[in-house]
Amino acid sequence: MTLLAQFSPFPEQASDMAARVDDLTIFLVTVTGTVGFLVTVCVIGFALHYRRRDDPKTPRIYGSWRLETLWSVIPLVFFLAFFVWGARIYVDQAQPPEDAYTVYGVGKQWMWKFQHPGGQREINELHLPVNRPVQLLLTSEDVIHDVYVPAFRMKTDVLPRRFVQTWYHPTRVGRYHLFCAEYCGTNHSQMRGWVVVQEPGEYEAWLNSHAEGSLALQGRKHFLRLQCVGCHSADAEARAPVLENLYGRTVPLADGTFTVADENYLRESILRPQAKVVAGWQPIMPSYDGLLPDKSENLGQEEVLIQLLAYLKALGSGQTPPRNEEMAPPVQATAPQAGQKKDGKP
Amino acid sequence: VSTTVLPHQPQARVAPRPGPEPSYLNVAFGVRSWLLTTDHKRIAILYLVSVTVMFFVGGAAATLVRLNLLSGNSEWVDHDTYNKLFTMHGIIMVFFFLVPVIPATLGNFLVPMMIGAKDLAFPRLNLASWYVYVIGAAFTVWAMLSGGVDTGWTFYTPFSTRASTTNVIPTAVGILIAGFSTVFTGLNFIVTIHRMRAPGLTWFRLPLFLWSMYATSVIIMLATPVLAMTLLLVAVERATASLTRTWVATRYCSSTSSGSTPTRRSTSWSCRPWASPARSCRVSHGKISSVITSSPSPASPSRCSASSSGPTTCSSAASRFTPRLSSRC
Repeated sequence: MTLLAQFSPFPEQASDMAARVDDLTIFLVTVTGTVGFLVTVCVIGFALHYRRRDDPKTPRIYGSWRLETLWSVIPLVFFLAFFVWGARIYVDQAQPPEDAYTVYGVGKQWMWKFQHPGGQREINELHLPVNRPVQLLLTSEDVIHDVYVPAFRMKTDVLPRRFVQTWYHPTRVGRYHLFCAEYCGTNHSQMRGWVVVQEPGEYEAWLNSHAEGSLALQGRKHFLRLQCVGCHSADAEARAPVLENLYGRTVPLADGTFTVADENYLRESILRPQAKVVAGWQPIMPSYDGLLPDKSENLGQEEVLIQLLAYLKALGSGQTPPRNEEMAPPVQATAPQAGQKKDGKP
Repeated sequence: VSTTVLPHQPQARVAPRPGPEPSYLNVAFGVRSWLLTTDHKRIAILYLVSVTVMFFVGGAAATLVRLNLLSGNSEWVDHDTYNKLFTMHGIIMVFFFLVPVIPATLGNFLVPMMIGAKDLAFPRLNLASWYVYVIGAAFTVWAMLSGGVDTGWTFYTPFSTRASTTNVIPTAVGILIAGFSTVFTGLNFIVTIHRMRAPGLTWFRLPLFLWSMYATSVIIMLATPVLAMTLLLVAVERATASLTRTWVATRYCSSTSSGSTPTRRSTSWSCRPWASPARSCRVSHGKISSVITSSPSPASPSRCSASSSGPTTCSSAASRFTPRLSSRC
C-alpha cells in the first residue's frame, strides 16, 4: 500500500474535501476512459468491416429510433451524474460551515500574505490547526491570483477589488504546497508557499510566539489614524452613521433599497463611498482609495482594509472611541524624517 | 473521367489520353495563378500551407518552453522570456491554427463539393479572407518577436491592462485582424450552405460534416465580434491607463507608463511601495549596491535616489515615496 501511495498520481489527501474530489475524478476518468476505448474499438472495427471490397454493393441501413434513444439516454444519465456529483462538491466548497474561524489573505505580485484573527501575519506560509474548519477571505492587491492547495484539492481565484471566500478543513498534520494557480506575471512560478497544518497545541504555541495584537486592535489604530472617528462617532454631532454592530446587518440605502453589510459592502463603502449611501445621511464621505496604505508598517491598501474590517466586525455597542481620545503620536512623527507626508489626513 | 478501364471499351487502352487529367492543381502554374486564384480548392491549399507554417512557429515556442523545463533549476531563459514563449505558443496555436484549420482548409475544400456547388458563394471574399489572415498573422508574429507579450492567450484583465509592460495592443490588433478573416469564411459558408445546395439535398440529408461546418460558421459569426469587442476594450483600457488616475497608479509606476513605454523588470522593484528600500537598491544595482547597503556611507544616498527616481520608470507616481527611499538609503 505504501508502495502504491508512492506512485499514486494523486497528492496527499489532507482535507475532508480531498477524498470526495478524488472519488469524482476516478469516476470521471473511468467512465470517459471506457467510452473512449469502446469508441476507438468501434472506429477501427467498422473501418475494417466496411472497407472497400470487390463487391461494390453497400447494404441499405435504416435508422432505428430505439437504438438512437438508447445511446442518447444512457450518456445523458452519466452526464447528469457528473453534473449533480460535481455541483454538490462545488456548492460545499463554496460555503464555509458556521463554526469556521476567519483568516484573511492578500495575493500580490508575487507573494501571499495572511493575517490571523490574533493579528499574526505571515508571508508565503499559512499555519492552520488540524480538524478545525477555517474560512479564508481573500483579495488581491493587483491582478488575478489563485490560491491552490493540491493536498486540500481546493482552488480559488483571488480577484482584485473584492473579497472572495473559500474554506478548508485540514484533516492531517503536515506541510503542504501552496501555489498560485492563475498566471500573474513575471514571477508567477515563484509565487508559492506552504500550508502548515499543526496539532492544536502546536498551533496555539505558534500563535503565541507570533502575536502582534489582534487584527481588530490593529484595525482600531487605522480607524483613529485615518480619522474615521471624526465623522463616524457615537456622539450627537456625528456626521456619519455610527458603525457599531454594523457587520451582517441589513442597511437601508438612500435610494430605498437595502443591502447586507458584508465584507464587500464595507470594502466598497470605504473605497467608493458614493456607491451606496445610507438612508438619512448626506453623501459627504470622500473616497479613501489610495489613502489607506500604512507606510510605517509597510502595509498595503488591502492589508489595512482587512484590519479595518476585522475591527468593524468586532465593534460592539458603546465601543466607538471618543473623538478626543488620547492617542500616541504615529510612528512616523517620532522618526527623524518628519517632513514627509502623512497618510490620509483629511 | 475514371481511370479504371472498362472491359467493353478496348479502344481506350489502345489510345490513352495524353498527359494527366486537368485538375485544380494543373489548370495553371506560377505564383500569380496561386496568389490571385478564386478557386476554393486552391485557397484551401493556401490556407493549409499558411496554417502549417503557423503551427510550426507555435510549436517552436512550445519546444523552447519544454527545453527550459528540461533544464531544471538552471533556467535556460529568464522568467519573462518564458512567459512570453508560452504566450506566443498559446496565441499562435489558438488564433492562427485551431480556429482556422478545419473550416478554412477542410471546409473550403469540401463544402462546395459536398453540396454540389462549383465554388463558395463569394469566391473573391474567400481569397480576401486568406489575405486578411496572412496580414493578421504577420502582424501578430511581428508584435511577439519584437518585444513579445506575456499575458497568456487569455489576456486576463487587469493583468493585461494594468500590469503587463509588453506588446499587448499590437498583438490584440493582430488577432482582431485575423478575426475578420474568420468572419469572412463563416459568412461564406453560411450563405453557401443555405443557397447553393444541389436540388434535393435537403437540410436533413446534409452530411454530418456540412452540419458541423454550418454550426461552426454560426458560432464564428456570433463569437468573433464579442472577441473583437473585448480585445478593443483591453486596448482602450490599456491606452488610457496612463491618462486616468487609477488604483494601480498609486502603487505601480511601471504600469502607469505601460501604455507606451516598456519598463525593464529590474527597475520596477524600486517603484513598489512594499519593496523595502534596501531590497530595491540591491535588485536595481546588483553587487555594487549590496555593498553600499551593507556599509552605509555618504555616497550611498545619491546612488539610491538615482536608482529610485530613474529617468523613465518612476516619473510621476513614484514621487510619493521616492523621498522615503532616498532618505533611508
